[in-house]
Amino acid sequence: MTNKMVATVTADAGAGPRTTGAGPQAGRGPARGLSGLSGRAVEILFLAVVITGFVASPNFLTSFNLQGLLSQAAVLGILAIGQYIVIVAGGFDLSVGAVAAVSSMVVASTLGDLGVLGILLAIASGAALGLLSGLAVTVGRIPPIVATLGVAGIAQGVAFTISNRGIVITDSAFMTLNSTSFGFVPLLFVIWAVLVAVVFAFLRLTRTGLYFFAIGGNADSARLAGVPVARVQMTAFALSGMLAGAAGVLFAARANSGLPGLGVGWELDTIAAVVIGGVSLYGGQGNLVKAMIGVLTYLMITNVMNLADVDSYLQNVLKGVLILAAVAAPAVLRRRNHLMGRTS
Amino acid sequence: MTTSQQVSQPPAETGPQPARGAANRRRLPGGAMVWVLALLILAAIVLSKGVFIRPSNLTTVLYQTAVVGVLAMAQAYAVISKGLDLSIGATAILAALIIGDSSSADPQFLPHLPLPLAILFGLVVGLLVGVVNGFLAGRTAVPPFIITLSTYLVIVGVTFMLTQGAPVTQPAQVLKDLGEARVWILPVPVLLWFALIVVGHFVLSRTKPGAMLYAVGGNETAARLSGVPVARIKMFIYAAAGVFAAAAGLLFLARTGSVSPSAGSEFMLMSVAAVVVGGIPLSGGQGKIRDVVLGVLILGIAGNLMNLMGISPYLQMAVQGAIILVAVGANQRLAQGRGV
Repeated sequence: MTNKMVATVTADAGAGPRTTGAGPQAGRGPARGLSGLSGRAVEILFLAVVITGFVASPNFLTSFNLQGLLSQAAVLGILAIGQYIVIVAGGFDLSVGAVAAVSSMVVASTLGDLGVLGILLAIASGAALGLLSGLAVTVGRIPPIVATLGVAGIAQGVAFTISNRGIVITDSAFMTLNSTSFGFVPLLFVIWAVLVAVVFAFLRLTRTGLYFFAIGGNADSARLAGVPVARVQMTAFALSGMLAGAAGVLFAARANSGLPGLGVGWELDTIAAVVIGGVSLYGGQGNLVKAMIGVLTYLMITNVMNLADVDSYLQNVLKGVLILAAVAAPAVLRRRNHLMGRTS
Repeated sequence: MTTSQQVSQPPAETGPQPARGAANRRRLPGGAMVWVLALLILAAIVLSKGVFIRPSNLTTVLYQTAVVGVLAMAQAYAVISKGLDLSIGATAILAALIIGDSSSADPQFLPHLPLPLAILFGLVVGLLVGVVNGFLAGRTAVPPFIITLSTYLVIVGVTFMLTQGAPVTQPAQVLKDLGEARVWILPVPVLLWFALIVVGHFVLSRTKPGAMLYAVGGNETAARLSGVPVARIKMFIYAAAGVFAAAAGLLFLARTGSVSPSAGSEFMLMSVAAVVVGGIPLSGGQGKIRDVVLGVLILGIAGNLMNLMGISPYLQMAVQGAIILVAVGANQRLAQGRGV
């Protein structure tokens, strides 16, 4: 049984590059992801999943299901904005899930006394943890993966130290965050959309936004060109932490509680979603809006599996395979383009 | 960023790294970690008011350290090759469940096997996981941490599918007995750990794949150009890590006598922590098994001390995260290298 499963992994991962051959990074060499030449792979995949969902289950296109899907997407999507920024800037953030857990605990435990201030405090705690990652990467010169893994450990410890059980939120005003919706579009989704718009504008219109792409493309050239690399990296991680903090607050609103064990696996979910959206894992390339379509696509795949009654444990297995396929496709193609290119 | 000189220098000295022309920039010599360990032991004796040094406590420390010790060795192989294996913790638990269930008199999801075959089964599964990781690491350009994080997800999924979430509580009695048996004051799992240290050290320092592993970690392009079969070496690295992980699972099962599919969540972080605390740079190409053993002992003693002082396990998690940051930070500053 187990052997069979393991064998499946090889087979499917091997098939990845072929099935997604028209993938987001297909044969583009060093071209920028923003240039529009990257094809429409994300959009096509998105539509394919919608159609599959529509065919597979009559419950897929109901307003109830869509509403749930969209508010779920809001939480993961806001985390993914942060992950997107960090990846574009040439790093990875493995702490987003644990940081969201801290933020949900902070908001749940302070909302009663502090009100709105509690929300701000939660977001600030996320920003602080993000800043810690940034410091570890820039001052400590620790590779982002390990730095954020360490910060994730710290964050988990903090979340469980606040309380090793979930904290229920009773504030009724806070709950309207989740219960408000316009038609089948929940308020949470609107918040996500606004944040995407703001970050998109930030990336396009500000110097720092441009610098993210510059240091992610080639940190050394960026430094020589006068980009303050350390400061920009720090900003990327702080923003990611802040957004993870915001996502933690929204999760708390959805779940009506803060949960210390929240967010296990979210770092991988966000990376996968962003990669499905055509963002290069090597940094410097990728379109935010497409990345967000990647989030929706990724969640819809899970949603369709749920509606089709796929065993939840099997879903985990399939998700792992899906992530590998999504990540391997562009990486394999890239390797074909640059045979002597960068080593991982 | 390592220079090509290192490539031809197999099981390198732990000592000086020819970094960026500055002769006085050196990474911590192995000796420094011995001093850290000595100081920690002293502090532990004082802070625990002598409880730490009791033979029963010392045995406990080693007993608890053995599992992570073996996992950390697997992690060291990956890190020296400039990779990272985040799947070993999950592999260990999967192997423990497989060995436990198939050796049980009343197996829940596997056919009954005699203990030696059950153990072999577990080790082979570990090997298979490693082969998948190694294949992907060698044949695609996907960063190893993403590959192994994905296989981690897959393994956890498989684990829960097999067990439906239920723990395995009745492994073969012989295994439980062995887990508690002692030679003098040393429990059998600890002796097994010592034996694996010897094996791990021997492979790394005395065999050809071991030497090539350093070459791949030091400078992959240079290694490839000088004829090292990089893809095959990566296969070897992750396969070895998978087998070590399964062996760690066996020790875990023998020690605890039962294993739940959700156990071992701390293994991933701890294995990385032990490697970096031992002073192995993440930039690859350097490090010895001795370093990992020191790292594991330091973490194990620190954990034991925190237990003796009644510090909550959650806070310990945070401390561990902080230790990673401090240890890698110190090391990177000294080595002036940037990697992964």
